[in-house]
Amino acid sequence: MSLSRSAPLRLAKYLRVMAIGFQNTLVYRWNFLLRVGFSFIPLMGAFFFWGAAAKGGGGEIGGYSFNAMISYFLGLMLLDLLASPTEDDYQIAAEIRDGLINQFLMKPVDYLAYRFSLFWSYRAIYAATTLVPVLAAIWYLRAYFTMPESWGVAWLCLVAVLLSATLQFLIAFTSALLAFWVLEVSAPIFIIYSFEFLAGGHVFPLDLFPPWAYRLIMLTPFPYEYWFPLGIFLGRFSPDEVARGFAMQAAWCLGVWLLARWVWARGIRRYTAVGG
Amino acid sequence: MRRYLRLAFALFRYSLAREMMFKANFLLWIVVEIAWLGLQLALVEVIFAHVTEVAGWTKYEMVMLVGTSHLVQQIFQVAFLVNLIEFPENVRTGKLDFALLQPASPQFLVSIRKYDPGSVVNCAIGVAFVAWAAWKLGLRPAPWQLGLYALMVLNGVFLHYALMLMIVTLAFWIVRAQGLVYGYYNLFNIARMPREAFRGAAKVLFTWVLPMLVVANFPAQVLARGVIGSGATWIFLLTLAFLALARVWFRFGLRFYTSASS
Repeated sequence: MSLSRSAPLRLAKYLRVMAIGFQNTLVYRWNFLLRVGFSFIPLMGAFFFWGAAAKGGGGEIGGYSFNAMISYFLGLMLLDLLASPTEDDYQIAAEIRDGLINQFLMKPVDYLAYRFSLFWSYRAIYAATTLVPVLAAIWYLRAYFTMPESWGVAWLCLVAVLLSATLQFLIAFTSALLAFWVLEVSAPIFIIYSFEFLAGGHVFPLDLFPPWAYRLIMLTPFPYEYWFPLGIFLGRFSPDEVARGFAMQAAWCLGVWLLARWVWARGIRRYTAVGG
Repeated sequence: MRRYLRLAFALFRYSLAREMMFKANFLLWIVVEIAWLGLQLALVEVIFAHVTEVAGWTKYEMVMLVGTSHLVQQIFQVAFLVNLIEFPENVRTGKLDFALLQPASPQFLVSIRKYDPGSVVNCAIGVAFVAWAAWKLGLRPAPWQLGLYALMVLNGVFLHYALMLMIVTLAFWIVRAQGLVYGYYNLFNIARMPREAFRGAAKVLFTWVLPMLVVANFPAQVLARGVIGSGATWIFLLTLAFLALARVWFRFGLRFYTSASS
């Protein structure tokens, strides 16, 4: 192995991984379709629940009309399908626990880059197959759906979604690395999820929080997973806030990436390669 | 019947002993459930900072609904959830063989082989929130209200069970069915929403087909308002029907089990 290997060749390696990821997902297509089907349930719940809440608030709730709220949750569903890891964290933890990462330690493949490629191939399949039902849902609810104000906003939103996907993956990856230290990672991962959900805006838009809580939350990485791209999409931010948001989002991606590297390096030192 | 009760008790003791081997994990799972309950209560808190009622439910009535839904879910979790979650994986790997070879009903062994003793603590937390809501609402529930509440909560537990068993039975045909477990979590979230918020086909769907709006709404209503919702007698019959259906469906699915070589 030489370090001077050309960049395209190195990239090709990970593209190959992506191709395998495609096949792997399609083998278990029923599992996958079920997931997609079930993901409509929270949307239905949100539709009726927030409908009733908005009615209780005289047509709006904390500056959100019912339509804006439905757009928020439709956008959230789209974001979940496009950018949220599904089983990546459990697979990573299982690979560490069962000693399957041995093969990566022996080969010139970077495990983080390998998982990142797999992540994107899952996302691509999700996006491709769910686009039709999700667009159908949006069309069905079109009376409630507000499009982004302009193409400029749409592009900004897309960038925020890509960064959000990266951040979500890195957080999932880093939490899965706990498997180096404990056998059972589900409980800590679920605790991290609960923070991501509440402080990320997965339960309700974050500006419904009191202002002091909102300012505090915006310093954590979580809002940049869901709330920031959705807020851009709905036009909830001033240009200043958008600029600051992107800076924070990029900074957190970098920060969590460095954390992942550091945790990985420490984990590998403890790692005892169970099995073969 | 007595044999099964003894078996259930022995398995519970075994589960408790096993959990105690991993004390940190045991405690962490309790924290997980508290975190997720906290999340739901934060939602109630935030919404009611802006409105005074949602579909006719006031703030502490909503707390009672969320608490009741939590209680039902946690009782379900003590006995059934772990087993049903592991079921698809056991089908895939062929570990189900072990349940089939024992001299007891396969459905029994599939459903309550393992217990989750940690959820007992979370049941208590659910009860505490219901009691707190009752106190805030200034309720003085009559004995019949408490009795009916307890019955309806148990009814909800068995409804969860029947539904979940039917869902995971699909694992006989679908390899790698974690998607099913994911779906179940999505479904559970419906249970803590007011039934009156739903309209039309969705209301019918979540009352009769995927009866999540039955589980916590009816008992919470009995306790909070002393009102027996229309259709309250039906919910018990519905649960019986679902249990029967789940049993038939499970036995049907079992015929398609082919095991897996090691």
